Amino acid sequence: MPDLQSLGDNLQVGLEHYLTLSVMLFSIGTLGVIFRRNVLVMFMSVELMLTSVNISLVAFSRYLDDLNGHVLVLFVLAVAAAEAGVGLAILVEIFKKRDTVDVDEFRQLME
Amino acid sequence: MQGLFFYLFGTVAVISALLTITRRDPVTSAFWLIFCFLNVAALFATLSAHLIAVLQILIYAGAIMVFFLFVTMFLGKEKRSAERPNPVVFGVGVLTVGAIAGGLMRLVRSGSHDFGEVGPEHGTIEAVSRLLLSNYLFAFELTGLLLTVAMVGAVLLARREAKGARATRTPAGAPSGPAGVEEVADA
Amino acid sequence: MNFTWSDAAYFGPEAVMGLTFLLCVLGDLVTRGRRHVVPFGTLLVGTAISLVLALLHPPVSSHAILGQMVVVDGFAHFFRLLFLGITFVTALLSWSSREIMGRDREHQGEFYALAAMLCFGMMVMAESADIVMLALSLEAVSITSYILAGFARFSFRSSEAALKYVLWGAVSSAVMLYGLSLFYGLTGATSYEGIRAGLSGGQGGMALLVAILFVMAGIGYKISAVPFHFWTPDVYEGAPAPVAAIFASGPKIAGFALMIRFFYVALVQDDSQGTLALLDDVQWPWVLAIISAATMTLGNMAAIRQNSVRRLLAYSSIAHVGYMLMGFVVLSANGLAAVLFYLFVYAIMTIGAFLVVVALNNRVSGEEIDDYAGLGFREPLVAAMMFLFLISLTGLPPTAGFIGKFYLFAAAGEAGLWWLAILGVLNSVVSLYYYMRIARAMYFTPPELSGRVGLAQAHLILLVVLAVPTLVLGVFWSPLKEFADQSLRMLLGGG
Repeated sequence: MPDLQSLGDNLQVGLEHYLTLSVMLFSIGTLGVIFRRNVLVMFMSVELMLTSVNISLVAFSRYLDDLNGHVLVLFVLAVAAAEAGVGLAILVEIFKKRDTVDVDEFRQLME
Repeated sequence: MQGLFFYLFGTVAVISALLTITRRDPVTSAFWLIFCFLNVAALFATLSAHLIAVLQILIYAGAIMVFFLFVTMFLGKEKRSAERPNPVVFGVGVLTVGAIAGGLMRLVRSGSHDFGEVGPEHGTIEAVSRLLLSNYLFAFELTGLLLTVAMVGAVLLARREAKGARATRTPAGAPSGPAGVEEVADA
Repeated sequence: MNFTWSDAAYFGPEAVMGLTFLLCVLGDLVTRGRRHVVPFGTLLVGTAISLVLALLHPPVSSHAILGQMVVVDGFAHFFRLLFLGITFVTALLSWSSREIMGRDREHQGEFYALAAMLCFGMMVMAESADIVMLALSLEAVSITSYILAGFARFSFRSSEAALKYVLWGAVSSAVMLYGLSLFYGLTGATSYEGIRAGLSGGQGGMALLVAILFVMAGIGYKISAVPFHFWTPDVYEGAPAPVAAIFASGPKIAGFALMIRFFYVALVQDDSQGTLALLDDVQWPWVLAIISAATMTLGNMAAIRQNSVRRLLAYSSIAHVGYMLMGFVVLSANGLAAVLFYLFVYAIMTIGAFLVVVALNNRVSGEEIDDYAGLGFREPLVAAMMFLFLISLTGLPPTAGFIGKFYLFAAAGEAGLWWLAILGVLNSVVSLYYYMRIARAMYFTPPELSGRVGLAQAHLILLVVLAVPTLVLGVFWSPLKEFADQSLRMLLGGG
């Protein structure tokens, strides 16, 4: 595929391209957190934000030719896992209690 | 070829991220998010972040999102009322996010920074692990503690009504999924 | 790299607390959660050992240990002692609390394990010298806090507060991580020293401002500064009262410690006159002065309207964050010393006030101000202590709170921020009104019931233990002031 090859060579991408993508994902995540009332989707939006952090870290790492950024990404992954674990456990617990508690109050959080 | 792959996977990632936050059904959202993460993993590969790309798939798209799906399914079909954000909140939110995004974009666009050449070692499992287990050993241990406390907490919170009939249905063990992996590595 | 056993000597207290956490979990598992005295005892013994280790080896110079991840110096020592003290007191206070005991005494042990982990995380927060440690220690404390917030069983409110807390906490930490990634990108370094070196060229500009604001958002959430304060009243109200006492003191203080070290080591540069100046392109004092003013004013205004004692204390704790930020705005050693002094005093008086809530919560049905009616006649000792803590929170002599506020306002005035100092005084006057509402209920409203309330012995002893320093530090404050000055010397001196 010579055409595709030349097209790929012409499309030079640098640090700013990856950062642009990272900003876009971060903004989408923020919008999701602000506008969605469903807690599950809000947590997913937070995961999007964390992924955008990872993209910018890896891009910086590549640009600086320095692996410390990659290690940071690993820790961000661990943090994301821990937060998701605790957050969803609390969510499950709220759901279990719903039987005995005023649903209206519940709806405020969990529409 | 890096450019082509960047635009391909980047576009798909952004579109699936948008779909994630706009779908009504959380299960659909979760699937779009997994798809987004897979594309991001491919983007990591274009940056020669091999280990991170693999972990993105294993931990993020794999463990964490499966956990999300699990909880979504567990909670079952809730009657979903219409999302009707307060117009003031909506306006302020859009303005804030727009300002932040605009500022960041201006920042990003301020100059051209092409990637240089990196050695074949860059981003390999060996190179990253060596750094992780030498310089960052203490941080690594702290991560182990962090995940332990998350595990204890998730079990504590989700196992509340252990005496009740629902006990067997609670996903008490589920949060330890990603945590457990890390703990084994830690030990 | 560079892991030696000599590091262990400096890291002893933290290592002991980390181990205590694991032992508490283990002890609870081994006894199948039936003998909650095991984790409780483990926590007390662990904290005591840690305290002894810390006191035996006060750092004489600054040591970067564990691969330069953490720095043990006088500043770390100050907070180490403070956090260990807080953990010790809150553990004792929880032991007799009905809310933590629970009806069937199940899941008790986890509370003490979480308290140990919280203490460990807070100590590491005060010592972090690398953005990796900053993020991880902050996260360790946050995640432990989320669990503690949801600790009250059978309480829907507690779970709801915990959910709110964890959701917005996750958002704020994502924002902070984005800011940290910008720092890494700007300087190519992860250590504070490396960031300072990388930024000394003066580049950064807009990106630096965004990075600082994002990191501020993360820390601001932790210390509940406006506009990231909204979770505070709900969480303090929903969480069990002992947990609220911990939240109002521990993580907030740790957030300040983290913020001070990060800003002063990574961002502030010495100028030729030996004073401190932040990087040129950020209008730093203005940003923080406005946050400080907004935090104390909003906190106080909201506190006026509260009828629940616990919500009132929650809003007043927000206002106190505003006062303390005042000392942080001022880029001087005096300002920081005032913050450290106030943090110490604040911990004592706020735990004291919450302790009264905990103690009464066991017996009195509600937590409205009206429920405290006639307390002065029924429980003269408790009422007197509460009155003392309220006086101190207001900042009236002869209490420690007065001295602390005096130093803060003086530091602001010295730096030419008179409007901020005056605003602080005005806010204190406002706070007098709502604190005295509680006092009025206690002393000038006839009780609905007569006879003693009957409080736990341990709570009465603890109340006296906390009241003594509140009063003594109001008269002999110079030892603490010297300790605060001395603690800062290593941080501000050679960095």
